Amino acid sequence: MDPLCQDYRQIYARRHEIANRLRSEGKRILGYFTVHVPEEIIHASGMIPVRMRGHAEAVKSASLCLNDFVCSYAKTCLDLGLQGTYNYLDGIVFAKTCDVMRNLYAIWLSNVSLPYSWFLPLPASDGDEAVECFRKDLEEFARSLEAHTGRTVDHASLRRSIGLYNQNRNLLRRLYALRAEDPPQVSGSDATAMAMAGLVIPREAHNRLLEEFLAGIRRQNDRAGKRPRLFMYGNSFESLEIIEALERAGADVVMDYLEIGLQYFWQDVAEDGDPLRALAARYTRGIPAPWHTAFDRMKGVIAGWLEQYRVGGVVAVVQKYCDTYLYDIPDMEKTLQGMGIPFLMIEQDDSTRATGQLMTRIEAFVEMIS
Amino acid sequence: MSEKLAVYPKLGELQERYYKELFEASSQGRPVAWITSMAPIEILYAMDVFPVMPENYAALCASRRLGVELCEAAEAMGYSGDLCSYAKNTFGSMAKGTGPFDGKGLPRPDLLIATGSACSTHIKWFQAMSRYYGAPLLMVDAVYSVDGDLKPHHLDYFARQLEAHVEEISRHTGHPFDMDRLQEVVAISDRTSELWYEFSELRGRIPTPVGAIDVFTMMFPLVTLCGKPEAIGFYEELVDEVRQRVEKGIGVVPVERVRLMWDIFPIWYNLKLFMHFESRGAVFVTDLYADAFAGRLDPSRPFESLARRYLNDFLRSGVRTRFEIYRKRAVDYKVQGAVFHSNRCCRYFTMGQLDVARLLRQDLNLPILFLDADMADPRVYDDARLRAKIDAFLEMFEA
Repeated sequence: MDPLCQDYRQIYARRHEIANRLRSEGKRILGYFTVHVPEEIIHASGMIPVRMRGHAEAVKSASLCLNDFVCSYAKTCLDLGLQGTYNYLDGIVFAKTCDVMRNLYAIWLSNVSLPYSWFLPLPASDGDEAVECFRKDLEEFARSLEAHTGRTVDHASLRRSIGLYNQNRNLLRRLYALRAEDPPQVSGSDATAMAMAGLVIPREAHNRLLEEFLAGIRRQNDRAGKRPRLFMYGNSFESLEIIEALERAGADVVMDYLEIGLQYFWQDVAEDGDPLRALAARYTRGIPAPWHTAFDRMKGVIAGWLEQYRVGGVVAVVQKYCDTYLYDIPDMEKTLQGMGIPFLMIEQDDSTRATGQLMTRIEAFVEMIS
Repeated sequence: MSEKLAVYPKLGELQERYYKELFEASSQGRPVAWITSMAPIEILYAMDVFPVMPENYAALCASRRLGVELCEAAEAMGYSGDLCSYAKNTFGSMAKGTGPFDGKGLPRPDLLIATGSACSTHIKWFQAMSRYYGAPLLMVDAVYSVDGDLKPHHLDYFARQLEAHVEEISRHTGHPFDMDRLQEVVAISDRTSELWYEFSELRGRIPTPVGAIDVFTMMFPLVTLCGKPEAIGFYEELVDEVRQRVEKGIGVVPVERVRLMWDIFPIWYNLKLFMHFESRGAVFVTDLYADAFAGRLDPSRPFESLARRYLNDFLRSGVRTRFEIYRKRAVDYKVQGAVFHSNRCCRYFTMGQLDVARLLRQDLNLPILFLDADMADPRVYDDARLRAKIDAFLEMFEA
């Protein structure tokens, strides 16, 4: 294993160093946005897919291209693109989820030159016709990757990649099941750090890392039932500060529905039948997410987890200006109130620090449910 | 300034009658559907379902000075102040039961129809209203490439959903569907758009015969009455009147000094800002906002042509396409500068403006002005600041 990959807590922070190393070894890397881009197709073409991520500092260059009222995820990603941090990429792939992702694609191309780029027209509906429509788009995507890499993406190579990614999902689910135990056998911040490492390193390396980690778990049962159990809901964040702050305040974050957590790996891809059709189904209706799933359905999904993991409180971590999450928040608050589950809403951006007022709110929330 | 257009009273009547009929329809048990822009209003007219577009209603709320009260009410419901101000005005009106017509809010919907062909915000906003009223939401899912050609399977996917929704609408309302009737309505809608394009083209003449306020006000029938014969009658009169102005060389301002284009949302609660431009001899000769609602249709292939219209180039545009549309218009209409309304609640149409502006500056040497505001929430609006920026911008043309 790459020595840089040994400390999983360091991987995410050192992701650009790792990617540059892979690049210098002749590997080709493709950056993708959102959980709806089928990495298996990129992998089958011989390239390494990495999730596009931003940074936690003040925005520097991107404000020349993006209006203020855009989420910091978009701003900080583009910032790195403009500053050349992502020069190791062969290209980028977007999927049409929210208005910001849709627009960021064209803005990116207009400001950063890349050998390859692709936009996946993702359907928002769940029906068979939506899946079939997306299958055709995935077919075109696969052909374009073949043209770019000169490697054939066929059923056999896709099946191998699907198998590898399902194995990764299975390992991540095992890891997350440990955090859901009482007491958690892995902390929420450790589990999330491990999942975030997976966003930015080759799948084979991440699988090995997970296997070693899971083999090394020492079971503990000394403090069952002692700490409040929280569920985290939202899109994504750059640093683990908020989870760590909740843990420091005396709570356990036992499960999440984040774009860097459960949303990313919960569902497998079917391994029988037409692989592109299986990918099309899994990456559309297989991922309930606020940008397309109505809250009436989303709340059933969430309620299921709250019950299964005996959750005592919900923390929503939502990027400022994120329309897709913000339209659901009033109904979410009402629903949780009806269930008697305390709710903490944190509207944040990627540079948010768990200090001052936010730390006070976090401590007060944990104290209230303790 | 030129005289007010003679068709204004007729526009007022159309608007009054539309809302009067809406309230009557609702009280008589006729089905009412709330729809997003770019939803196929023609199908509803063909099936005798009364269509209401909350966006248009919200613009009206804002222009009647209800924006502050309604946006505050939306925030009291728990909605973020950063959301679309059309949505906030509508939420506020729902919660308070108030609005610009006899102090009443809109009649509740029997069903809602949302497309994703414009913004994804439409989907979330209409899901929230569907929950609020417990009324069914029909989605017309739109997929497309950005800055690319419309692919046959994307067109087909959209058109098939329209066909499927006809049955759903029938099921929810009990109103039958009749293909001949849809073809009639589509033909009317097509003629309405044809007339709108004529109006839009006449607007680009020198001197421009109408002001931006006229355009943003005159778009009401195009948005709301597409498929109704009265829209045709109205636009025929409008086009006649505007053509006469063009023939006589009558401009909206006595001396036209600067020809500008506008991107993209009007500032509904202060359309008078356009008069500030006009008082300095600056006129807006083209914009894409109203034109986005128009589109030619083929009555012999109604579903396919509706799909083409509601997946048009402008909706699918990224930086490149939008720049090209504007570049062509700037050349065709002898435009000397561009004003971009940085509309803080709209990520869909506002993102990309900085790049489009940069390309226009580079390619055509167009001076650019950015105005920070919000289309229907006046709480962040700073009139004095905007006027000062406008004055400084227009001074550049005097040198």
